[in-house]
Amino acid sequence: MRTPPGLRPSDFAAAVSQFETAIGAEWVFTKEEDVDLYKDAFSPFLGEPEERIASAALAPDSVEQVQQIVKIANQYKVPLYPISTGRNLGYGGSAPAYSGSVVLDLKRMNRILEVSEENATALVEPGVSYFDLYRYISERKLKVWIDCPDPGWGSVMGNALDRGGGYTRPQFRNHFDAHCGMEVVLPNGELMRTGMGALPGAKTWQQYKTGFGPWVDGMFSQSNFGIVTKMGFWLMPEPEAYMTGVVLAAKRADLHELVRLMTLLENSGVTNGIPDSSSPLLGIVSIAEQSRSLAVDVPGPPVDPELLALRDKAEAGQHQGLEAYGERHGLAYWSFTLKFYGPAKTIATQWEYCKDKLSVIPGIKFQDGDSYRFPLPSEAHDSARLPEFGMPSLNLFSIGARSSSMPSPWHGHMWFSPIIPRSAAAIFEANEVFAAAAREFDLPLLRFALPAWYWERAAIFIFGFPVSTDVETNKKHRAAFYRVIQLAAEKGWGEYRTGPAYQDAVMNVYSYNNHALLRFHETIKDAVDPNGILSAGRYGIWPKHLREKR
Amino acid sequence: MTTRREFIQVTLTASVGGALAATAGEALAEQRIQPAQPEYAGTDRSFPPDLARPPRLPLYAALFDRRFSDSRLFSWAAQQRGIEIRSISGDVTDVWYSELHPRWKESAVPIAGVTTYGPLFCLERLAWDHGMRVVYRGSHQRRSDRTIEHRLEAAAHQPEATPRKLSGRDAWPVEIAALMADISPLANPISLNRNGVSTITCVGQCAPTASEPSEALYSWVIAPRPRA
Repeated sequence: MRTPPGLRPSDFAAAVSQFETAIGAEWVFTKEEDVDLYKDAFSPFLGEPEERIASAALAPDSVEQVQQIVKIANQYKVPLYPISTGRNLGYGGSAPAYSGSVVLDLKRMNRILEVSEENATALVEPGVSYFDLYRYISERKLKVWIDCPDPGWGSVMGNALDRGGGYTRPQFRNHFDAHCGMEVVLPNGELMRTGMGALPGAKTWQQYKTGFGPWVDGMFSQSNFGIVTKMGFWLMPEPEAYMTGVVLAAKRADLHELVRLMTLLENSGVTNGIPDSSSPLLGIVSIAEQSRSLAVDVPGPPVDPELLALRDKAEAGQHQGLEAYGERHGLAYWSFTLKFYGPAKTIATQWEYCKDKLSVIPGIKFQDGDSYRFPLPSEAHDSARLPEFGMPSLNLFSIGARSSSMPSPWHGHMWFSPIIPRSAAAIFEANEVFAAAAREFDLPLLRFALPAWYWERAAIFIFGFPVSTDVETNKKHRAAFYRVIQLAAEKGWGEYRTGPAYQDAVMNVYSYNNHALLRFHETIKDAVDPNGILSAGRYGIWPKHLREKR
Repeated sequence: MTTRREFIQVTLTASVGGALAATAGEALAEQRIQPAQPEYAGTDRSFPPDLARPPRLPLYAALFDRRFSDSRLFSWAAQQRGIEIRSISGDVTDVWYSELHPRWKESAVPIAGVTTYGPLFCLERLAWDHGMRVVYRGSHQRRSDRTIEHRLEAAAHQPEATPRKLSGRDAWPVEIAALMADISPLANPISLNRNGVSTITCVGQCAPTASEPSEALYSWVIAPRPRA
């Protein structure tokens, strides 16, 4: 049996014995073969001493058991690392930020406590997956949708607490924003409810977010101040219809007006689905095109060698011959897909309004896109991107394997996800900065990248850094990762989320006024968790006894 | 460094296909009636004499990827042994959602498959939550010289005759089905650190399959952990 750092084996054995009494011996895992399952499958420290490993794992079934575990952990100073399902691959998985912690696996707490069709709300436990919630809703034929990430195999609560994103309307695809009310086991074992849940017998816990007094919910996301054991969510009422419209622009400089107007239309509520973007000239495909490629066994047409040569010569997506080529061949520089959910007549009118607004861009062209009524017809499942219709999928796992054309596929990946302004200027600048970093660290060179549009008022790049089985390669990629964190920060861009390997580094660049924010986090940490038992190091927040040694 | 969309796009060059299907009932029906294609004609040797012997491990189902002739041949061999088969096309969502997830919630039942890596990676982790582990895993990578490299891993000792059996032309999936049929219900899982794992690597012959994706195939068995 491994022992957490700083504990005597005899004390840990005594704690384990008490854990067994509290939750049943069969739910206390100390054998290496069981505990190793909590390693990060995509750890950038694979095979190195720094790889985060757990010393044991506990799988309670109830809030009361969680409270007992916390009290025992306080008694023996056992570091705990709660996870919901630990499926956030690329952001750390189920491995603890502080190696040697005991993973508190909340998968068995998987009850869907309520789904209200009338109010379009849900109340769930940490172990409820997107598939679980989707099944519950589908079996009851409720007219509400979930908003899920892709792949959708993880925890509804866990993804929200990590501030993940999805693919429907803006107020739902920001998963933390879509929550309403929490139940939290505090580090001293006490149980607290937030928002209206603090009012005994409240009828509106999942309907009114803020309750009375300071709204503290945000303190429990990307943090280590408590263990969230219940969480409410707002669901999306099933719309009558969905449609898309495609906007095609011919000039590189058109990206400025395109992004500005798209953002205006979205923030005005005229478009309300997640925008998708691509560049036919640069060979950047949209997310929808990727989904379709997965669904049909037809390789794309060969690319004209002349265009390939132009793309190779382009820097930051720019080469003087590209626009002329596009004009000759009717190939757009930019293609943006706008999406609409709502009554069929209404969204058709919204699309017409978008065309009017975007017509200020010279030469702009429009194409009507997909159109669906609900429930989504089964024949559409092959081509539609299911998460945009509240349907979880594992489809992404069907790609990326070893083949003769890819003899050494990545073992895994780490996501580097800087938030940048929603402007073409920022997109162009970011491409220059990150392409230079890729050259510096001999990483696969970016031709040009378009950001994702999960959030309404910001854009986000999501770059995959390869994780290898080769230690030296991983060292090189980690060095590059640390470097791009710095480069981004120098430009005023910060990551929205990262894995434990990089959480200190990212927190370190959120340094305004001599790290006032981190110092505030630490003040809270010391006050609510004086023994430092919860998720030490998570998101760069260390308890006092470990902070001083660092 | 590549973007999330480029990561997906790049890997797509090696993997096209994967029909996302449909509502539960329709998908399930489609999976069940999908006929396995016994493309064993022309093989240059005989099949195992015990082709119809049921597996020792009571397999709930065998998954195959209908895009690959080798995988279809495996499904045929599994059927000969009385194992129910399920068809996928790269994506395991429907089999998982429609059948395995509800079935595993009731009780852990073993499954096997010859698929690409993604479904194995995904199902292995989902199976952990139900007390199951991978007890056998093989990779089968076609090479440009019409050979195929097999690498088989199991916690238990593997028969010495296995490389010879796999070296014959075409019919390796039938031999893999035979190997799976011999797996004991008491088989230990393959540990993540690979301690005590028995590995066999060998090269066999294979027929050209120009129209198929070039991904490596993986054979695997996921089973409940034997009780201590």
